[in-house]
Amino acid sequence: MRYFRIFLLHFQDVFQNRGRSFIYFLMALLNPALQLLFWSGAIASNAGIESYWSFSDMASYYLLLTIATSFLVVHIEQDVAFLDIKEGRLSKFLLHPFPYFISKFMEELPWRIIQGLFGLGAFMLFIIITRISISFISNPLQIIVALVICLLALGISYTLKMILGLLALWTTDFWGILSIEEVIFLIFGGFVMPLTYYPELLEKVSYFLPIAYIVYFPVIAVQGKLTINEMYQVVIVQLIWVGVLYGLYRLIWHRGIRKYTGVGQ
Amino acid sequence: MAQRDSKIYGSRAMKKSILLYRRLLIANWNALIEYRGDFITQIISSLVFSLNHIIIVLLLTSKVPSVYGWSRGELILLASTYNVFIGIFHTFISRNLDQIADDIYFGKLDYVLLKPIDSQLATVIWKINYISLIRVLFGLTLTVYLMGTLHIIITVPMIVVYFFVIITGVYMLYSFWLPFITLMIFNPRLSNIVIFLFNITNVARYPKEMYARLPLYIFVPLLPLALILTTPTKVLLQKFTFELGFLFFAVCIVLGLFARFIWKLSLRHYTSASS
Repeated sequence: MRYFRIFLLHFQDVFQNRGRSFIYFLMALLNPALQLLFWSGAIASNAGIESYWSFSDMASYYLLLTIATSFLVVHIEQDVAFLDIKEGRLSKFLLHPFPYFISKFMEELPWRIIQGLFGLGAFMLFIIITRISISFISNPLQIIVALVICLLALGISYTLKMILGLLALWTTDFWGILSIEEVIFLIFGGFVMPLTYYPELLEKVSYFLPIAYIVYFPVIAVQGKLTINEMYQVVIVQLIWVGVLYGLYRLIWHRGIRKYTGVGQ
Repeated sequence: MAQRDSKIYGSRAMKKSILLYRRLLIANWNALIEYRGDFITQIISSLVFSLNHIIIVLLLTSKVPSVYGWSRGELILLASTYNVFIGIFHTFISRNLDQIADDIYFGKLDYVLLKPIDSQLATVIWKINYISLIRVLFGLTLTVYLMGTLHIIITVPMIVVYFFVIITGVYMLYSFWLPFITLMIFNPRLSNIVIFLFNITNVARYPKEMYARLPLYIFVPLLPLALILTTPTKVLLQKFTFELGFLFFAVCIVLGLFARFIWKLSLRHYTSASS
């Protein structure tokens, strides 16, 4: 119950800052919109492309990507690195009678919900305006498994970003890590285009990394591009990643907290 | 006599401005090399960002030979021009505007407004991000290489026009950013507007022709961004036309005047009370 209260308090704060949330959502919308525009021209001028994915498939991919980015891509690492570690606010959390990991999750969750709702709104608006037919999964079992995939994706995203944020305990300048992370996410996360379009080697590397399991697999699962067996495989891989990343988080937390001085940097 | 005095005063003022900017250049350099670890990390991150869009274009064009009349090589040339352009913009402009956004948020803009220089000029002169010059160097090197692969001969007039258009484009982008940042005077909570502006600048990475398909009410606001990179790249590709040049400079003048008007108007509403 106390976690729910923390969530509600943060929800009030985020709702009060809905203008900021909307701007963050616009950022999530911009990249897929540009890629979609690029592909619409590419499909129009290169007939061969049609044999991979049709325009409606591409449109649904990038629109779902917008929603998935808003709902699932966590941005807690900057808060952890700059506010908590660099400015010394972590001390406050250390005195709380509940784990830092959960406390920060309750802080982040309202942002994801509000931005995700903006994404859903934009998605519906696009469908109403353009009247494009978009294919989704309709089988109840597939819907349930797709929901599980989305929840696990949020788990991977959150744990990974927490780990990245904690790296600020060892570095004086965190911007370098942030910029490298941004580029890696863009390339291996399926944000540029569906990973099946990638050159073979890059595609295989992407499947090996956890980033593809945050946005790419949830999107193609909802699109119905995966069979039920493939969806189960994705769930298993995601569970492994959640376990590995959480173990890593615990290790980094226990080692890093010894370096924390409580006066900021 | 009065004319002579005015000339002497003008010359002194100019000397003073140059001296001031020289000091700012030195101060910014000293700040950069203060922490060597950070210095190296920043170099690496700058190189990563330089490669970022090149990789994206390589991926996007791995299945398609041409898009919107632009071949793969031409699109990579556009991406390398982006590095030159954005490198200059980040070196001299973006950090200052970011700082202005912070000043508005914390109610510290008064310090900038009280300086004995034009208030709009005071928005861009304080911070110089030398690290971004790496992107300029990277972009220029790649541009020269690509010009060779595209069998285009580089001439002196081409270089002069290219840089003139790039610098004008930097001013155009500054004029595009400034009205958005002044929005914070009316609503200081929009402190993430700068991150949004960094993102929306990505529009410039793609050819202008891509946006021509959009409805007019979306295309027109995006036109400045669509022009700032397409124009210098067309100079290199020898596809620069009088119509494109006219459009480019007309948009630049209109946007520059608009930014100045909005800035002056917004300052009247600045309360200095922060968020």
